Amino acid sequence: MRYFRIFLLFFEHVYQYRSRIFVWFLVSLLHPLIYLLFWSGRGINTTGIITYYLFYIIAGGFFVHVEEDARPDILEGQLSMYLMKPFSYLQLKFFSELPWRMIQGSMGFIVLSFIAFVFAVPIRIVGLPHEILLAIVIAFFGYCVMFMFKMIILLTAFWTIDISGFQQLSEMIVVICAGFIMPIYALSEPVQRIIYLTPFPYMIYFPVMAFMGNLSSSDYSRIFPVQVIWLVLFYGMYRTLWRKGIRKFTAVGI
Amino acid sequence: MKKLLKLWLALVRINFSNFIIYRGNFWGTAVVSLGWAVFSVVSMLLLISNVTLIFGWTQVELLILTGVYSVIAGLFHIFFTANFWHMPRIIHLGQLDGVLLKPVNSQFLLSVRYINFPTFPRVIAAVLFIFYLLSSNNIEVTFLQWIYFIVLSLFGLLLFYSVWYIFMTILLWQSHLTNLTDLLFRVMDTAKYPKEMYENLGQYISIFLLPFVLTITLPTKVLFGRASFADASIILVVSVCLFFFSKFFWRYALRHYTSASS
Repeated sequence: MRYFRIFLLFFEHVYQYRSRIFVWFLVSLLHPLIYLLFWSGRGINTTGIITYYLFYIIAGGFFVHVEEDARPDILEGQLSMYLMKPFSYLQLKFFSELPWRMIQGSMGFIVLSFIAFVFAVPIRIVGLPHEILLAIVIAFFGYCVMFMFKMIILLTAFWTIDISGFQQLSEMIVVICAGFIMPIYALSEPVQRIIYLTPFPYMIYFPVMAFMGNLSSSDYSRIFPVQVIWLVLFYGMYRTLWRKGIRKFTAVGI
Repeated sequence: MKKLLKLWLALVRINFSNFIIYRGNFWGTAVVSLGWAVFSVVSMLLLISNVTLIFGWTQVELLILTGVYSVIAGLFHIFFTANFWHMPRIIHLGQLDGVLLKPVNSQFLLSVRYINFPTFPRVIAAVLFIFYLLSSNNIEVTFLQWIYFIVLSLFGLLLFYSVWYIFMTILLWQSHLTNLTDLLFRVMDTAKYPKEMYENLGQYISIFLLPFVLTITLPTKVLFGRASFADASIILVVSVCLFFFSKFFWRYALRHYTSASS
């Protein structure tokens, strides 16, 4: 319950900066639209590809940026403030990030609905209740995997202090391997196999495929356990890094 | 003008001293910057795989376009990006007072205070990439074409700078919109693709995007001998007009600057 209150507090805080959210939303809107235009030049203008990139507008809203916002915590020593509070740092960050993502994601949903209804663009989307439920579960776990990955990047700041370089390199990899540029199924077989070995397609690509209705029940039974494995692995890494990093942490007055 | 040039050279020296002191940071940032150039090429390779012609551009031409983007955007990052990154903080925290009190043009000082030396390797790598593609595909470029290319690229840079400065000026009213820089990076990315791609967008949007898109497309077309005079005149006129508008808009916006305490 207390975390729900924290979530509501952060939600109010985010809602104060509506114009900032709108700018962030425009940031996530531009790339999918550009790629969509580029695909039309390739002569591929199918419902599948249009839906794919429209869903990536929503996915862009759910792209976790926790490491960017929390960077000053370690860099400028603001972490001391969190250490004094009777809350887990991980959970606090989770609930402070979620409102940003929910509001931006819902803006993406509005754009998708607007394009679908006003321009009468055909959209391929799951319709059966159990399929929708499964897609939501996959999306939630995908979000959690991404959140944990970004938290690990944040914690490397205990050793490197400035993580901007590492953060940018990781972002390039995520953008390519999570299917932001083009669908992974459209890549060559060997490249697909390598990408599927990484956690990145499980963050965004498979949730998008699930909402598009492109996953069979056997796909679900394969993807869901892999997501759980990555989540457990990342959580373990996070705990280890936190335990070791907190001993290295220095701030003014300590 | 002479005074400004002298000041700029002094700033270059200060920035160079910083680069000498923090060499580790230099190499780290240089690797990331090169990473973005590689990312641009990989993205383009993915998008053009299995096709020979898109929007009238061949695969090689599109890769050269990506190279030209890396050069012009790289130069922009060297001379202006760090300044635009600092600008929201300077305005939001009221530090602009200190800039305004100095006996020098505030727009000039805010635009050139920082120089990002680590991006130089990216520009050099992109130039080598362009030369490699041109020579391996037997594309001959005359001396006059290179001059034309450089002149148009410089006007393209001026256009990028002016648009960025106009948007950054909005911060004087809405200082919390610090993420405008992220948006402008994305808008800049639109220039990475051929002009013809935007023609399907409808008249109004394509007219709005045209000068932006031409900044990269047009110098690239010069290398293939396909640049039109009409397009060149658009970029020249628009970049100069936008530059003077950025100066006017900044002076106008300063009247609304409230500082941190007033």
